[in-house]
Amino acid sequence: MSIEAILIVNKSGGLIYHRDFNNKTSATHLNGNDYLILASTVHSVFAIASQVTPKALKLSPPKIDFTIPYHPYVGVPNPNSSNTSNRRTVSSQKLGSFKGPDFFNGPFTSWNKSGIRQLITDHFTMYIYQSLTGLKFVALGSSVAVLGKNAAVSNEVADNFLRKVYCVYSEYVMKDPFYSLEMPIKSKTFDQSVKSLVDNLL
Amino acid sequence: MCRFLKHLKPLTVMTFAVFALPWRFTRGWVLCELCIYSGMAPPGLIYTSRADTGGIQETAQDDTVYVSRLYSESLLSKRNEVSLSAMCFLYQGIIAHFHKRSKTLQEFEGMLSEFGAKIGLRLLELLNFRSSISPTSASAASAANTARSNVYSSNISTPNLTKPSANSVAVRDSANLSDPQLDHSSSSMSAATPVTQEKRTSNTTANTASTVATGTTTPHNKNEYLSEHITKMKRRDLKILDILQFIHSTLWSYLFRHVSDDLVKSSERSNEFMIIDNNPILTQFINPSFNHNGSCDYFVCGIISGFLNNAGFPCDVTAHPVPQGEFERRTVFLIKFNDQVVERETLRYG
Amino acid sequence: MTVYSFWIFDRHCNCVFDREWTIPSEARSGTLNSRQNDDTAKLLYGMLFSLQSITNKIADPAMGANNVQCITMGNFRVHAFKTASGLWFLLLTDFKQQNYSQVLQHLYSEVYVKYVVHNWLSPVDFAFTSDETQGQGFRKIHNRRFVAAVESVLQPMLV
Repeated sequence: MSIEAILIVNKSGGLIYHRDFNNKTSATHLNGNDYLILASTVHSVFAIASQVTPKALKLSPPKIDFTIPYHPYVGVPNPNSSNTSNRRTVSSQKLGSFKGPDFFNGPFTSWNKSGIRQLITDHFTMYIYQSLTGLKFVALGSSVAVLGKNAAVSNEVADNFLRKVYCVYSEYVMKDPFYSLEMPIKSKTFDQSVKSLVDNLL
Repeated sequence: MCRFLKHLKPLTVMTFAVFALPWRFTRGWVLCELCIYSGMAPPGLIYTSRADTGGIQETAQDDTVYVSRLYSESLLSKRNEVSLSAMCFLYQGIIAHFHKRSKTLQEFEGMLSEFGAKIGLRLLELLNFRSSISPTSASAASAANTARSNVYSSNISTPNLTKPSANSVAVRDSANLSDPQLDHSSSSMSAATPVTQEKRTSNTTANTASTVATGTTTPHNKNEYLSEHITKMKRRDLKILDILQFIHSTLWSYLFRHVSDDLVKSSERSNEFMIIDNNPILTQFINPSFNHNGSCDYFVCGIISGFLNNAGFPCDVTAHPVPQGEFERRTVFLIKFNDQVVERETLRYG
Repeated sequence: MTVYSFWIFDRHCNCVFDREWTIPSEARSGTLNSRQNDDTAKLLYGMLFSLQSITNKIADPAMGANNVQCITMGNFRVHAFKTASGLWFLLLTDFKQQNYSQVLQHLYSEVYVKYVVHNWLSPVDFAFTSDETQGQGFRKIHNRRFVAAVESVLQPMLV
């Protein structure tokens, strides 16, 4: 699963970060305005989604487990792999204020109980992870999650990955005293960390 | 990583608070400080204790003599870790506070620097004191400390075995027995006095705690005990290179747990020296931008300048980001000594 | 493998058919073309339309049509199937089964085409005047055999 783009949408629906990762210069490259529209559309659809719940669910809400299992080393180099170059990068790379080789190492609950989580189309998949504060992390993946057994797994992997983007956000954006909340993110260190997360995903 | 909060003893943490928090809180803090000095605490004052530096322990119901752990803690260092995230958020608050109050960048840097200077001056005394304790006696001192803490824990678990003496009754009755922390402080008080008798015995029976305790024991006994380990006090550094070496190794490893990456004498001017840090820990998450490049490092500059100025080496310290190779946040702390210092050095040492 | 509801939208943004099962295991429960579901229909179509427009924008035109296939929400899943004539077939289900595209295709090719398109007495375009386009239409499929066929296809999946 390769990531084409990552967007971060704040709680009012404004786009605060977007980054493309595919190197191919496609003619359909969206300009900045298109991304803004995209972000606000995703935000509003996200909000509508809770109202479209079918009546059967409203009458008898099912007990859904919102725990997302942990997939190890998504987005960080695996220190156990036999690849020697990996081991070197692992020792030199430090995850900021997170101790250990990975940002977290256990399952976690999903805070996205009523909004859109995954959108599968003919040619790509979009994953949305929402934090408790209403911040939405959107990832566009290039491969289509085949509707079968692995659709759920790919959703979990994407949630793990986007949660790590959230960890990186809380490090390099929240700890910057000159960053004003809900404004576009202009931090080089944040860009670098996100890029290394995406690169390690392949 | 950075053991700031723990090892900056009470006065410095208070200073932090005095300058970092808005005024209506600082009044309360200043009151606390005065009360500690005068040996009593205002009853009913409630605030949360910080990271084990030992604030005033109190319960709202009681109205008696409060024991401050601040002065009964040993000056010997203990390995303690503070969350880097917590420290960065606190630092972020400090920066935001000064940034709001200053009109120009120079003013902001100056305020941060002044703030750090207060810490630097205290670190001068503390680190010199600690470096005077020779390693073997240091381990004996820490062993005795742990022995005493065993005494405390046994005291807490068996409070009825303690023979009450007149004053310790007063202390213990007033203390809320269900509050283990208060027990700790009262027992530390009771054990601190008969230091001279039980100096070298690591006596873990409860009887040691039953020795006579006075409510008004001078709390410095523990550190007097510590100072007995010092056979030869470290001499004051008089040479520029010596004190810079001390900063490069001891001060940096105290603050950041690693020695600084380089100590360089400038080839152009005789009064300029540089200390280099490849990755300043406190500011690692702050995004450098063109209008405040490296300003947040002035806090550490302030610590260095406070240290040097109070050691008799008047100087100016500035921070300059100089990215090199793989270290993008490499910072150079440029120390510019006053001319009189260089003159003095050449006169005395040729 | 619970199916909660089934919707058909035409190219004029109107809902032409909806069948909702309110009690999951009870096949005879629920509503058929109920007027009360108008609001929900509009919301659902709006959501689908917005997501489809995003998809069209993101997609590479060289790779052909890019249609929304499946939207996963916190509690349920929406499976969508778009025909070349602009019809949308939607199925709201739970998480148990992943792929309903076969079901939707079958519903289109065997049920809809047979009972509505090939039916000479049934309108194909349910908006008779231009006032009924753009979401203002109200005509629905009431064909009994169509409804029966839909129910027979979806009934095994209700449990």
